[in-house]
Amino acid sequence: MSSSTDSPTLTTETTQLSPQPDTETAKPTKKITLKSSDNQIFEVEESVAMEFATVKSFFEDSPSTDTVPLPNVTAKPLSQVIEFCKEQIKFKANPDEAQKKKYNAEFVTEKSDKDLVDMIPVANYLEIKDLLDVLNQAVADRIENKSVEYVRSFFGIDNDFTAEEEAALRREHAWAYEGVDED
Amino acid sequence: MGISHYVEKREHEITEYFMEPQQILPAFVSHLGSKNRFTNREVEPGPPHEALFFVLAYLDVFELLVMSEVCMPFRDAVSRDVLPWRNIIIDRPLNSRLSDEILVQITTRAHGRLRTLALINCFKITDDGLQTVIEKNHLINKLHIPGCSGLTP
Repeated sequence: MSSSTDSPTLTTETTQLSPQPDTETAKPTKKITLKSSDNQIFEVEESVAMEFATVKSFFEDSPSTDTVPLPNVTAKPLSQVIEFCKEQIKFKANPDEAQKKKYNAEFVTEKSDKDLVDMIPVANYLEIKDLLDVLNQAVADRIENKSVEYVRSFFGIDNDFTAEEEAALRREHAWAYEGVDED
Repeated sequence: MGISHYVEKREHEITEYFMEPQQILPAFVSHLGSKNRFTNREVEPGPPHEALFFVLAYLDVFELLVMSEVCMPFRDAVSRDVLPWRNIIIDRPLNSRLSDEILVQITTRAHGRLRTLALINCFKITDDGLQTVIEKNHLINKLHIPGCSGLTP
């Protein structure tokens, strides 16, 4: 075996060793290459790439391609998005709503604010509805009951209002702020 | 405890009209080209990250008001967008502050397209106030008003 140069045979053997050798796992899985804007290469299984509606339609139009350039997506959020989609595929094969909910909650909890916010445009661009929903809700939860000043510093947003405009909005919304903690 | 129950309910609402915010999003996709401008956000404040516009549709009344005071791009996005205002849920802490006048003002932002109105323990709301809102919004299909003691049962 050590002298064997026939690696495809080895792969087949490994597949057969798996506890449930159903047709699904025995079939050689096609890999698709995704290339981020910072030229990182991600090889993912076809089923994962098909979770990205944008990539899916690209393949439907030109089935012979195997590399998809993603010039608007950087490596870090892309790798996180891939990680999420890999898990979702497992849940698709083996539905367990409670487990899925738990995974989705943990996925966002462990991410930094910047990671979450950086993934949103990627999820939108790749059209991954479930992820977009999870991410948007997570960011919404992080700013629940927070003050204007908190949100500005939380997201590094410049206050571009004039003092008059700001005062006018304050007056208009005054009713909502009675007794709000400034955190 | 009360909050988590409420979030569950809200998630349901949101998935229900999820496709619609998508339709307004292409306008924001044009921001994608400048996606790296936020890398140094810890250093100096700048314009809001484009992702935050996507989040607006997931916010409740209080957070929408807060966001519209954060910066001009948010104020404009919130005021021209009808979608986040079509499902209005007023719970703590806004319930005790909500008057008829404010209710009418807030619901006007839906431009007559209000679909869900949930007023939870909004004891200042009177029959007149609720009547005005319902007359202006013929599309309301969910009305939830527990504990609104100012209303005639």
